[in-house]
Amino acid sequence: MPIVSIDEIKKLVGMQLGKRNVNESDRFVEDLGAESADVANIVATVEEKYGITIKEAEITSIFTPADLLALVQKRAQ
Amino acid sequence: MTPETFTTLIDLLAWRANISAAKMAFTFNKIPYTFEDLWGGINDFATLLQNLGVRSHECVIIVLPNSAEFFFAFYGVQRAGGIAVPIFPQSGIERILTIARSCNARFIVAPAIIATEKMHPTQEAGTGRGLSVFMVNDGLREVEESCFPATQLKDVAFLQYTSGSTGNPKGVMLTHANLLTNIRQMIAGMEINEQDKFASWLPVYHDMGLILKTMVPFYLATETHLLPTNLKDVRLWLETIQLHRATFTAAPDFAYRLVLNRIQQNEYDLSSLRVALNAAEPVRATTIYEFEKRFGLKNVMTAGYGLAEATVGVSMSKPGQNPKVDERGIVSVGKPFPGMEVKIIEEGEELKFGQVGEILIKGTANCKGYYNNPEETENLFRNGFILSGDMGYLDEEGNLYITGRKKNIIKHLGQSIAGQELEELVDTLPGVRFSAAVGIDRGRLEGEQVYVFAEMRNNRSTEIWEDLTLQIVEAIHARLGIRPARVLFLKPHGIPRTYNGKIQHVVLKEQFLSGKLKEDMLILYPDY
Repeated sequence: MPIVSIDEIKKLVGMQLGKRNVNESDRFVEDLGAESADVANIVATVEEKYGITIKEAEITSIFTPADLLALVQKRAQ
Repeated sequence: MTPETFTTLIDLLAWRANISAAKMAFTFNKIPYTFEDLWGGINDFATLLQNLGVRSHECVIIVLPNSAEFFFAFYGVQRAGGIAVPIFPQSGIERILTIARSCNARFIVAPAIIATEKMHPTQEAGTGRGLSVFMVNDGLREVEESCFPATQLKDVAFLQYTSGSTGNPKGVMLTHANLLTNIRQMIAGMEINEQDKFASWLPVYHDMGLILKTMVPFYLATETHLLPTNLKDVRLWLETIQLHRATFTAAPDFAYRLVLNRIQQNEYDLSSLRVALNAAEPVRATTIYEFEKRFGLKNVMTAGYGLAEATVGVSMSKPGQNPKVDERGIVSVGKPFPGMEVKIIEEGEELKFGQVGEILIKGTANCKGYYNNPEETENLFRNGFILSGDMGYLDEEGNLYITGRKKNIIKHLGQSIAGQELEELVDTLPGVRFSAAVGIDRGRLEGEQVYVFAEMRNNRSTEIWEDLTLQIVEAIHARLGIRPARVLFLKPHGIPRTYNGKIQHVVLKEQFLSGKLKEDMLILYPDY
């Protein structure tokens, strides 16, 4: 799997939520106005894009693009 | 006197306030409200409306979330002689204005907290059309009691707007007669009595949460505990059931799946439940089995079916009986409630047991039609039956099974969204040739989600697709308060259509899920 950058994750999150400016530490729900279904859809898109599986239990600890990147990178190793 | 003697909800609530003044009507967020409090709030609100000059049978829009104020406004409008029009508080401004136009509303009731930021543009946009926005706490309890017109059985109590096409909103007209009929049918069909205790987080501005979960308990004066609609914490719901030993709760399938996902075996004692109704979206057999197993329950989760055009409830499987699941895995929604006539037809012919066709419904709970919309009203009825748009069959015992939908309706977290409404929105964006919106359930927790497919006029760059994705998500969110799971751009003719140009939503869904769209290189963007 190619190296994933934070910019790529930020763009993916932004497109999922309809937000043009997303920072790596923005919280999905509190800062970006995501509903729980939106967070699940972000995770589903990440899974499909990078061909990885994220467990339901792991979703509860993903709050920001940075968290998401860390998880994707961990899975890529 | 008994509740059966009343012909309108307003008269019933007045009677309740008189004979059971100190009795609790409901709690919201743990705060109790008596029937006297409820009636007081209703009258104050009605007085305010009358002072504002609300006319008889005039529509008043209510954009309030679950709260005590919702009930003051909802029944206050009716008390003042008007028609209440509750709408999803997450609705975008455009949708609120579309509905206001469709029902000629001059007043919008919004909570103070959202009024400043969200309703301000509405106020601006409404200027010149005489539209005014006011908050529920404006001027309350500052006015004298006034004289209100008597409500009649045949009066329209409220409009339930359903998702339709953008230019043609469909506000289902429900009269006091419709409501009382369906309330009594549901009480009989689900064997609800005064000893039942209700617990609900369902939206009170929508049919199941409003009619089943608040009108039924108000009618019987049963104990009722209402919660905010926020499901980020499902624990509040379960805690409420456990604490009050609730016997009756209701939710769409996804909410029960959410519980299964987040709550461990026997973490809560839900043994008091007599009925956990599962309705408003397709019921999964696994949800029933798993939920009952998780909490050590037996034959408590019942599957139900209904639609706004028939007030709300049409049928429900009997509590206390094993769920009926057919060989395809479809859970039966039981027998129609007493007084509900259901038949299955195809091309005008009534079908035999086991044959799948469109579900038609007849009874005194059938609505009068859509407000200010004779065309859609005519399309709704055939020989006194409602054309539900849902497909299904009846078994030999008369149990109903829902197999799918005739129209392209997306069931997103219990909310029905017409694919057409989304398509009209997307079609107006630059570069889009044609679009299709479908609901796809990929077996994940959230169930059916919105997928948008857009055919492009000519090959564009990634930057343009990315920008257009943002525009589509923004536009859908602004109107409906939800976001699609995926937006995909297809080559011209990538969306399957019939020879006369009708979108084949089911075919599109299959082609996407089987990977055929990808194999045929019809997807321009994204590449995953």
